[in-house]
Amino acid sequence: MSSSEERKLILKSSDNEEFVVKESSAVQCLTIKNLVEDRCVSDPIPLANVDSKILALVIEFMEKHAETTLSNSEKKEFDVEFVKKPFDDLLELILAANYLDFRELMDVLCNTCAKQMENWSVEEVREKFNIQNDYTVEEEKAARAENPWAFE
Amino acid sequence: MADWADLPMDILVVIAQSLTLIEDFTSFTAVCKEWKSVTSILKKKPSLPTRYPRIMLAEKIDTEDQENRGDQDASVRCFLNLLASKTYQLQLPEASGRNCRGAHYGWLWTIGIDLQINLLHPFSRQQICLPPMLTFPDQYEYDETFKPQEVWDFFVRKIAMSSNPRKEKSSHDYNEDCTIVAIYGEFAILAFTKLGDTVWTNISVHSRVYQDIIFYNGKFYAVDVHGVVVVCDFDDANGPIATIIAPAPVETSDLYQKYLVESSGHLLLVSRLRKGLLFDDDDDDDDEDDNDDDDDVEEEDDVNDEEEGDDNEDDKGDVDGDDNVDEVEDAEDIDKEEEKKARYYTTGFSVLRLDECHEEGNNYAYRLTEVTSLGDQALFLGSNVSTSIASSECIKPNCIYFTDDNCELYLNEPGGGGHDMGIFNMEDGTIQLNYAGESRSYISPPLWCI
Repeated sequence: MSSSEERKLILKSSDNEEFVVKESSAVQCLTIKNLVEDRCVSDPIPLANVDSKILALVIEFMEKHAETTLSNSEKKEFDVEFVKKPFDDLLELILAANYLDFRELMDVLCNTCAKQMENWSVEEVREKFNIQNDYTVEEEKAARAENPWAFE
Repeated sequence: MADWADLPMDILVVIAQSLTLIEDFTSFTAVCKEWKSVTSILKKKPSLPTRYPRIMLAEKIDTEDQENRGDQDASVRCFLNLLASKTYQLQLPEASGRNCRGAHYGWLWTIGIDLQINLLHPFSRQQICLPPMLTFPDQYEYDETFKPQEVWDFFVRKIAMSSNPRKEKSSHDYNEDCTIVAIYGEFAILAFTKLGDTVWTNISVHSRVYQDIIFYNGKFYAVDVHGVVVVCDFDDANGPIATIIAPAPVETSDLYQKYLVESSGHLLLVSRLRKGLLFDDDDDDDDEDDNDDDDDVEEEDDVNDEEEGDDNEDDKGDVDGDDNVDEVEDAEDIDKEEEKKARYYTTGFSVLRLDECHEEGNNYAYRLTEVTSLGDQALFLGSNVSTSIASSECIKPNCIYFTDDNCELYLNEPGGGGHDMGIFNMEDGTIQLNYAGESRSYISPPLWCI
C-alpha cells in the first residue's frame, strides 16, 4: 500500500471539471479530511458549491501551503500576491473556503477584507458589502456616542 | 451570483477579529445592526491600538456640580484627540486613584497604593497583572516610619514591552512571549519580567539613573541620565546584562531628561531641556541626582496625607468638550505668569542619531550624529514608550509632542504636574500648547495613550 503522501484525490467542481490533488494537500480542507477519515470518499468528490475557476485558485493555495520545503515567510509572500484580486472575487473564495472548511485560506481572506475595510468609511463599507443601513438616525447617534473613537 | 450581504455570521466574526485598530472595530459596528451583533458574539471588546495617539487627561475629581453624578465621576476618564477638538469619556474605574502611564500598543500601565502593577487597556478595560512592586529586587530601606506605601507613585519610572501583550485573536489570554523591562527604584536601574512571571529580575548595569527604555530591532535599549546608551543581553551566561554601545554625548547635561526612540529606521537620543525655579539654582536642584530622591521621599511623608484625593487643582472646565481649540496658541502668550511660578517647564529638545560605527579602533558600536530634522515623522515623548509616528492630517511633521513626565516633582508643583506639555517644532524651535485647558494631578497627569 502506498504512503498517504502519494495518494491522490479527484475533486469535481460544480461545472463538472475535475482536478487531481494530493490527499495530503486536500486534507487541509476539513470537509475533505472528514470524508477521507470516514472512508466516504467517492471518486471523484463532487463540490457542488465551488465552480472550476474558484476551485483552481483554492487548489493553488492549498498546494502552496502544503509544501514542506517552503518557509513561513515564503508562504506569506505568496499569500500577499494571491489576494491581489478584485474585491468581489474574494467573496467567492471566502464562500468556498467556508464550504470546504479551509481555515488557513479563510484567515488570509478575512485578513484581507479587514485591511480593505480600514481604508473605507462606514458608508463605503456599506456600498462595497451591499448592505442597507438599518439604523435610525437616533440609533446611529447613540452608537456614535457609545463608541466615539471611530468618528473623528 | 453571490452577494456580500449574505455573508454568514461566523465569517463576519472572523473578519471582525482580523481588524487591527480600535477605530476600524467601532466603524465595523456602525455599518448595520447585524454587524454590531457580531461584537456581542465576541463578548469582549478587543485590546487593539488606536490609529492616532490620544491624550488621557488627569482624573477629574471635582467638588463642583457633581450632585447628579455622585460616585460615578471617579470612574470616568476623559480622552482628548490630537487636535484637542474633541473629548471622549470612558468608563475606567480601573485607573481611578492610580498612577497611570502610557505604554504601547494601546495599553497603559498603572500602579496604586495597593502596590499592584497592572497593564490596562482603556478601550477594552482588559487588565493583565504584572508582578507587584515589592517583588523588585532592590527596595528602599523600609521601617515603621517609612513604608512602601510612601513611594508607590514614583517607584517605577517607565516600562517598555517587546511585543503586544495581547494574544492574537483571543481576548482572554496574554502573549507569553512578551518581555517587559522597567526602570525602577531609588537608583532608577533596570529589571525585567515576562508575562506570567511572579517576580521582577534585575538586569546588571554599570551606572544608575536610567531615564528611558525601548524595544528596537529585537532588543531592549536604555539610556541613562548622562546620555549613555546601553543594550540589554538576556543570554549572557552570568545573567541579564546591559552593555554600553555609544559614548555619552559631548554637549549635554544631566539636567536634560533623555529619551530613546526609533524613527525612520534609526535609534534617536533626544534630550529635553527644561527651565524653571528648580533649574535656575545650584547643583542641589539637579532633580535626577540620587540624593534628591531621598529628599523627595522625605517631603512625601509630609504631603502624603493630602496627595490621596481631593486637592487637585482642576481644569477650568474645558474637559467637558465645550471649548474647541481651532488653533493652538503660543505658550508665551498665555502662560507668562505661569512660567514664572512653575518649578519646571520645557524649553526645547535636541536630537542625536545613533549611527553604526564599524571603524577600526573604535570602542563603541555606535557614534552620535546631530539631527536637525525628523523628516515627516513626529515624536511622542512622555511617560509612555517613546514613539515616532508619520505625519497626517492631525499630526504635524518634524515636531515633538510631549507630556509632563517629571513624576518626582509633581508634588512640588502647585496644583500638581501636567502643565508641562505641548508641541515642539524642530524647525523653528517654538513650542505650542496642544491643550488649552488645565489638567493637573499630583499622581497622574495627562499622558499619551498610543
